[in-house]
Amino acid sequence: MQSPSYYEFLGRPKLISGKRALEQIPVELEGYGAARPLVIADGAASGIGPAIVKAMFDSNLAIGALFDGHVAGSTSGIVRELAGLYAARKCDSIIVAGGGSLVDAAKCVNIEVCEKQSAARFAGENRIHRELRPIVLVPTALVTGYEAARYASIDGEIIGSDFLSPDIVVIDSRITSTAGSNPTLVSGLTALAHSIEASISPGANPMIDAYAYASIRLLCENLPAAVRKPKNGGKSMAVANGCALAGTVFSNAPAGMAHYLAEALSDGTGVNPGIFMGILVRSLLKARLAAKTGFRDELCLALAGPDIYSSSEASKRPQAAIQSLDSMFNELGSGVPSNLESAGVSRERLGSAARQAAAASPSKLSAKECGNLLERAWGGK
Amino acid sequence: MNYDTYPEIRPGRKTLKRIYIAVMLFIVGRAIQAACRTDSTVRKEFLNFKDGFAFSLGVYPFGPWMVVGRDEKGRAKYLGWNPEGKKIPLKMNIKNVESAMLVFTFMESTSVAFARNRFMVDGDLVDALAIVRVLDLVEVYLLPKLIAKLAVKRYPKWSELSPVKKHLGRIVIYTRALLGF
Repeated sequence: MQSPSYYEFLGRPKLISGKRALEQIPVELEGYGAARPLVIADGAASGIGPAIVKAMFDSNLAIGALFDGHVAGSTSGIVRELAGLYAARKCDSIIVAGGGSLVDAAKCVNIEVCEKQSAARFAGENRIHRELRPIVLVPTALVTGYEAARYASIDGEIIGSDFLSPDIVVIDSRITSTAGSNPTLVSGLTALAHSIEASISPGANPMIDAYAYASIRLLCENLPAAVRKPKNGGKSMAVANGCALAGTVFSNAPAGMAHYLAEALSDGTGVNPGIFMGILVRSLLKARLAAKTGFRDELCLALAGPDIYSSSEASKRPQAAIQSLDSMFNELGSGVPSNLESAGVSRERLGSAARQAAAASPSKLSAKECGNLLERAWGGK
Repeated sequence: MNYDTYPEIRPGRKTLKRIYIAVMLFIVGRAIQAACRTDSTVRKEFLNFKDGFAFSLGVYPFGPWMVVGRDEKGRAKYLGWNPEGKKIPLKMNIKNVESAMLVFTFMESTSVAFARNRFMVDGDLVDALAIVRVLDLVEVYLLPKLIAKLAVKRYPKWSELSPVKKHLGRIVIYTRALLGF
């Protein structure tokens, strides 16, 4: 392996995963000089708030407030209210337990309480210039892929900053097993797409490869079982680990074509982008295989696993990798449609989605290449 | 938003678990003192410590703890449960009650818990590792093989600790631990 002539890598967050992981939160927060967290818990899943409170027993922490109300989306309104609660209770840190927009809202609360301005004003890249207060993420399912990464969303706008990665991600089966089949599926597919796209991006480096490898292996080996039995603590934790690692990958590699196209398609159909990412990233790899270009050996190893990789001839490894990916999708069953048509996307929608994705992408994807991928995915190729 | 709906919470205590850990620490503390007078390996470990050496082992932040020191003859001496006011060069704290329960219910061995970063060590790491070895040996003496195998890194072979020596040592250590000499 050769070191690239230059690269940067953001190695946040710290991961704590396994038995009694929740109980490590007090001593970790104490290390940051924090003793009074605001706990924001997903109120829809029962038992998360009480589990967090119980984990704080016999510690120096006092919980400033436990918010377990309903958060429909990360909007300026809810962020302002939560920031008010944080200030009124003189909190000094945030613990967020859940996924999706709840985590986005918690990150935006952190921006507001530190910067004393509306978080929406920081939309864009690198507009936050200093460390924020410590934030601990306890994920149920990482449905958007932004949760463990350096991004947050508010009012539909994305804020990107190295200071927005959670400081600590705590993965505990008591929390991850509360996620249902669908959030587990969506989070797994999103993470898989982010890791695969990062691995084939021109900016891939040894650190991205290492994180992407672990993420892809964890997801390929555990996602089908976790979707079938989301209460299985071991499998749900493995998927959460894969998603958290993919979050770090996503922080370090620009989002790719499958990501932007999936978001564009989701706008029109209401289907979760994760499902589209799963369909699109498969077609993307098949297109690369057909073109015999850009299919890196590291990705073959990650997708096929060491046994299949080592028993395949070098020239047949990409094919073996695709077959392994296909068999994982087959195991997922009807949860993931085989093509965009069966996912409810009309052919007429493809052109506008391609243009929308090309416009949203800062890396100047062309509408033509987006359209080509959509055509392939529509036909399930 | 009505802030009163979301009140401040002062987390409580896990009293029963702390009592269980306190009893275990008391037994292990006295057993270390007894093992040092019975087992040559434990004695050698304590002879290697400096004069005035003492260590505390307990649960962060509110305890319980046990304190064991080295007397002028190089033997281990159980110094009670309270580290306050004592000069303790090596403080070993398990990060929380639940991690301590994993260790003291033998679901996780001391060395595995150490490797998993469940301990906070304030003092010389070499001394801390010697204490982990001492704890392993004491657990071999105190516990039946079936349980001790879960609690220690590697259960000693016959050639290292013969069954006769182990069973005789167990009787002596239990007697000394109960009587406190």
